[in-house]
Parts: sequence; C-alpha cells; structure tokens
Amino acid sequence: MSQPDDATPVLDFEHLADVLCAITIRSGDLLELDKIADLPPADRAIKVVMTINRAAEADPWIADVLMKVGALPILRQEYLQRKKVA
Amino acid sequence: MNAPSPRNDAANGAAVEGIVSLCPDIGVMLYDNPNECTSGWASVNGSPASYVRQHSDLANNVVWITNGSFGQYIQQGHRNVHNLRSISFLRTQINQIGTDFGHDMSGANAAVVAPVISEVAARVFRLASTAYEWKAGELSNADSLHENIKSRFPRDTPLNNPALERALQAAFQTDSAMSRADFVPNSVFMSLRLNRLTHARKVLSCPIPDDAWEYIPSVKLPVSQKERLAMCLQHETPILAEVVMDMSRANSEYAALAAFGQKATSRMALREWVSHPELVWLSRFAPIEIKSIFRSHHYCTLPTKMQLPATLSDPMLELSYSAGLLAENHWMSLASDEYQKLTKKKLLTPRAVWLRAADRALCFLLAKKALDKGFTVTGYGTGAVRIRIQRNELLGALEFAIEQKLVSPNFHKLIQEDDLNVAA
Repeated sequence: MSQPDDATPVLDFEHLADVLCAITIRSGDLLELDKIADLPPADRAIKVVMTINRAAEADPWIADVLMKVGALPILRQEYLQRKKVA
Repeated sequence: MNAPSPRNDAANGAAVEGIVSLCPDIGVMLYDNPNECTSGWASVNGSPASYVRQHSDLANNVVWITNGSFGQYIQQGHRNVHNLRSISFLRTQINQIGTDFGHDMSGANAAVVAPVISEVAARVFRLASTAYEWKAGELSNADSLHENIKSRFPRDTPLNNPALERALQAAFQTDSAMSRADFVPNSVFMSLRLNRLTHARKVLSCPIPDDAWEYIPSVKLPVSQKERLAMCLQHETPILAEVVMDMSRANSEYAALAAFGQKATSRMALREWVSHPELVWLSRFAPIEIKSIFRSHHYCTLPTKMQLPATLSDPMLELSYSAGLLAENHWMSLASDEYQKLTKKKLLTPRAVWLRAADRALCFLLAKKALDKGFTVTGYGTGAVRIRIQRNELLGALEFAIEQKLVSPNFHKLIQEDDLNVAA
C-alpha cells in the first residue's frame, strides 16, 4: 500500500489537532504553541506550521507522522480559509 | 519590584487597547518556602524573574498569583492583600502548571519556571478579557477565576426544597481518590490530562435537568429491584436516585476505581444519592438497589449564554494550554456549589451535580484504561487522571498519552537519558 503523499490529506483539521497535540507531547513545544492564543485566528495556522516544522526538523519520528497524515496540505488549506475570512 | 510591560504582539495592537485596560498585568511569585511566604522569584507577563525579599516589594499595579500554601495564604492574611491571589486562583495550581510544562519548581529552578507560569497566566487573563464582558477591575477581584466567570451568568436561584437539596449534596462528588499510593523508589507521580478545551466541550454538552422536580417514594416504584433499575436507566427525564451500592459483589478492581464517595481532600456528605449519568456508569459493574427517586420534568441543553464563549470556538485553540485553562474555569464555574452569605448555606444546582457526574464518568474511562495498562491510579476528576509509575514505565506512559490524545505531562522534559537506557 502506498503512503499518502503531501498532496493527499487523510484527516480533516479537527482530527489533525489531536495528532498535533500528540506531537507537542513528544516535542515539548507546549509553551511555543500556546502563543497562538494571542494571535488573530487568521495567523494561527501559520504559527502552528512554523512550530511543527521545527519539531519535525529535530525529530524524524515527528516528520514521519506529519508526512503520513498529510498535515501540511491540511494546514495550508486551513491557512487559506482563514485568510479568506479575515 | 516594578512591573515591566512586555505585552505580547497581539496585546500591543490598537484594536485591543480597550481590552488591555480591563486586563491587569499578571505576575507570579514563587516563594522559596511556600510555608513561610517571604522571599522568592517574581515574574510579570513572562518577563525574566527578579528576586524579591517579601510580598510587599511586589508592584502594586500587578495581580500576583503566589505559590504560598493555602493555609499560610489565609493565616498570614494574604487573602486580604489587594494584589495577591492564591496558588489555585486559576483552579489548576500554579505548581501543577509548572509541572505540566515539565519544570521542576524547587530551589533555583523557580527563576526559570516563574516566567513560564506568568506568561501562561497573563495569556489566560487576556483571553478571559475578550471572552466575557467586564467592567474595569472586575476581572481579577474574586478569590478564583471561576468565581469571577460565574459572576457573568444569571444568578442561580435556590430550589426551596430541603429534601431535594440534601439529595443533591449527597450526589455531588467533585473528584475520586483511591487509597493514597505510597512513594516507591524510582517512581513518579503524574497527572495524565485530557485536552481541557475538548473536555469542556464534552462536559458542557451533557444534558441537564430543568427545575421541576417531584419525589417518587419506594411504594410508587416497581417492586422488583431489577425493574426499578431498568426503569431508571431507560427513563427519558432526569433521575436522582437514592441507592444502596453492593460493592462486595462488584469487580473489585473497578469498584475500588469508582471511589464512590471517596475524595482527595475533604469528606463529603453521606453518599446515598446518585445522579442519572452516574447511575448509568456505576450500574455497569456494581449491583445497585434503588430506594426512592426524584424525577425532573425534562432534560434540557445548557443555555446558550452558559456555553463556552465565542473566543474559544476556534478548533485550533485546542492546541493552546491557556485556552484550555480558561475553558476549564468556565465549566467549573457552572459545576461548583456557592456559599451564600445570607443563608450561610451552600447553594448547589442540579446542573452542577450533572456536569460533575459527566466529568467523572469521562475521567473514569481514562482511569480504567490506565489501570488496564498496569499503572497505579491514585485519583481522577476535572479532566485528569493521577497515576504513579516506575521510571522505566515512562516510555509506556508516553505511548499511552499519545494513544489517548492527552496534552500533559510534558514527557520531553520528564524522560531522562537514564530512563531510555533502563527501558531498552
């Protein structure tokens, strides 16, 4: 069975949030991610992308999980939607 | 210590100027000795910590949450100091917040931890200032944040039915505690916490009774206990049941885990009544005899005004610890009893009893999974399960946390290199 690639997300954003919480538990980026609460909704997705990208660079397991669940396309879509609303 | 003003980017925006004026600067004071409450490390809004000699050196224009023991906070009269708030102001004790972020609070570490906790506390206040309507000075004037939030809702009215009030008190259990687990060498105690925002949504989605209650004595219930239980379980309207639990015939592990009437800190009223949601989950593993019931007219959803504020509706905020703390204080404000100065009695609503039962039922599910995994469960409630594990089980606990979508503790800081070697 082929792995889903960057273009085919397998989760919606709600389920991705669970995955990101799990990643935060492993990476210890709880405080960094908490800063999204201070941002306008339109800017939150990009902050999440930057935080998890850093975590993925430091930990191959996290990079693997993000790739498998197609996290980046979901976040990209979320970012665009929020920008449109803003 | 004077308050620096390192407000965050968002708070610097002109658009939020009005909100900021409602939101005081928030500081955290970590005493060297929480039982003495003298010198310690202080930080405001996440700024680097400064060492101060005593609480009177703290800036007067900042609200300070301290780690002083609650007994000392009361005994030394700190409760009456205008700018001091207790260790549990945010409900989750500030020591626990430090631990959730993977920090050791002892000794010199306090200088590192104080900015982390003050950053989180300040963020909770900023969120709270946008989430509810406040007048200047209102946001931090109560003994706890959840009491402040409660003041935003319409006042609860007494039920004027002493028998029903007694029954509700006997069904109101805020947490469950097993027998105290001893300290074992090479072990750690930790709180496995569900995502606070998700948990708040689940608890607040629980249907609650209306205020039209009627008492149904034993003679008006089916004679057979089996039929009584079936009738109550299938009942479409809320039931408050007077029960006798036969734990001797229950699965011993799960019966102990239910911790019926057993709380962590104080003794509660004799536990002779259970709410409908509790009856459903307790009846699955323990025989229950029903003596009489109160029945409410119908189930309703929580009024829109009492639902989580729109500020917390963004699903992305599930990733924010501070948003979780605010959500927890919100549902807690609706699920707590309230001391009434006029009557010198505690006012307890059916809503509070139902929401607490929903919380404990959700936590019981997680506690049961932790028990099945082989962890020693010491208690649960308010969206968390407390466990004791050996250090060589830490990796297993991390896997469990990921499987169960938990948000803390911060295993990254908790797991040391030696633990990995032992586990291997």
